[in-house]
Amino acid sequence: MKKILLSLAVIAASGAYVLHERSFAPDETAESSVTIAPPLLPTKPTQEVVHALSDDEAPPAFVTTDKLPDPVGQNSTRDEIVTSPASNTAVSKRKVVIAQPDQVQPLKTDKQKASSSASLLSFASAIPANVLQYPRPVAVQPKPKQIAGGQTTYRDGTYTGLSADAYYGSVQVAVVIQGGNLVSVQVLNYPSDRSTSRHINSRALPALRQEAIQSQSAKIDVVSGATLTSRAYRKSLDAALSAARAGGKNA
Amino acid sequence: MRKTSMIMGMPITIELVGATSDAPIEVALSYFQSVDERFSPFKSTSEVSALNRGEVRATMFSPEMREIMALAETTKFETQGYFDIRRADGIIDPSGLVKGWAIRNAAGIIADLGYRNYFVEAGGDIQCAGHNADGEKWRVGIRNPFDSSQSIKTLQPGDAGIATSGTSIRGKHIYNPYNNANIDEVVSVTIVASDIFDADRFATAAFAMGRAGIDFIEATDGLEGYSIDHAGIATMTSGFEDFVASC
Repeated sequence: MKKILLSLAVIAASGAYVLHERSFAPDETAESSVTIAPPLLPTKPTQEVVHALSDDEAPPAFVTTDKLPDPVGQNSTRDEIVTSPASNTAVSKRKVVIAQPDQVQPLKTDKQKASSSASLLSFASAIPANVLQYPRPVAVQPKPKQIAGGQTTYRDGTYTGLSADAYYGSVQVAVVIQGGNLVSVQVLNYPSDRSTSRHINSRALPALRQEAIQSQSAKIDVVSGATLTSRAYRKSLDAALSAARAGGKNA
Repeated sequence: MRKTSMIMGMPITIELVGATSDAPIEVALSYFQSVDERFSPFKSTSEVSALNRGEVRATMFSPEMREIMALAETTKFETQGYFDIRRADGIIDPSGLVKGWAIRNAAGIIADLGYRNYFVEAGGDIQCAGHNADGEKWRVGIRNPFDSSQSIKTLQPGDAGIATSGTSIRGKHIYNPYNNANIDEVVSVTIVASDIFDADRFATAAFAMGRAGIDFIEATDGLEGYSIDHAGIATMTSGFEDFVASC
């Protein structure tokens, strides 16, 4: 009996000793003795997902962008150049769309490129929203393509040029350089936009009628046309091309 | 009676059928002038400029600024974020919204003065009411984005707002002949809605969306659209043909 009591006393004493060891040093707080990562919560509730490649696209080796996606929502859609590191030629080009679960099937045109969101997959339920707050990996900038003879050299990539020149509204274009050539101009900002979310109605759409435009000679009272964007567009385009020549990311 | 004046950096044209003096037109034009005083990003004395200098708190907004700010929020939501008056550099620039809003209000002023047959046009955006001097619904052309001296469509949409968003710039070096297939740029989007404010903001958003813009318009009730690509091929929404003039 005495032995049992002694054992219990030792155990109790051990427990007390352990408790003593775990007591906090005078300058510590209860929180600092334990380190647990806080739960990773998205900054806002979101269903944003990264658009998946359509079936006819090869998985990219790298994705080159001019800036990382901003969780707050800047630049949630871009045309991106996908470049294989070895050859510096574009493997494929895809449009990355921060999409909502429902997506519309866009008009199928004759010029069906990989970057048109031809077959959209909804990953909303599969990928937890908080995972998508991490920026995507960005590849090292490819070396500029050398062109002999002092011609204008454009570095491959996507470049934007801001212009606030339009009297009513600013214009921003992005140019995409592929293989040293200007292959696409996209108006990003007309008059101003930084999309925080994209959601296109998922209703099935009928195929829309198309026609070649034709000059009209009928009597007209008043004409509707785009007005003052031309100069601003040109300024923005020139700025973006300057950035592409210099190899800087934005003008 | 038709009159054109340069205000807000663009030509503004008003035609009133049956007006015997230009006085009612002047009332509407002076309204545009007051809008410019308040909303011009190029006037340091405007409320918008003061706002961007940090001199105006939301509680101090004029009723017009308050209204524009509220409309901006709604518009951003309805255009899925494509139309945002806050620029990348943090500047608040509501001018894209202000244009259609001002046209709508000016048309309201003219209607309040008792006119039933008129149009108000500012920078290629138009609100029509009633009929022209020949007694027909107003005949509205869509400008050829490749040749500003021509029209490529004639509409008679009745009492409606018509707005076109796009660019008429063309430069040969932009289109590499070997890569033409990769450039699918939309150059012009025209929207018809019952209200020019809606037509204008949705034309802006649809143009920014590129090829998907016309699908967005098709999916949105109350809007019809006509989108022209760089090759001169136009895509139209399913109800657009109802607005095309028959002769």
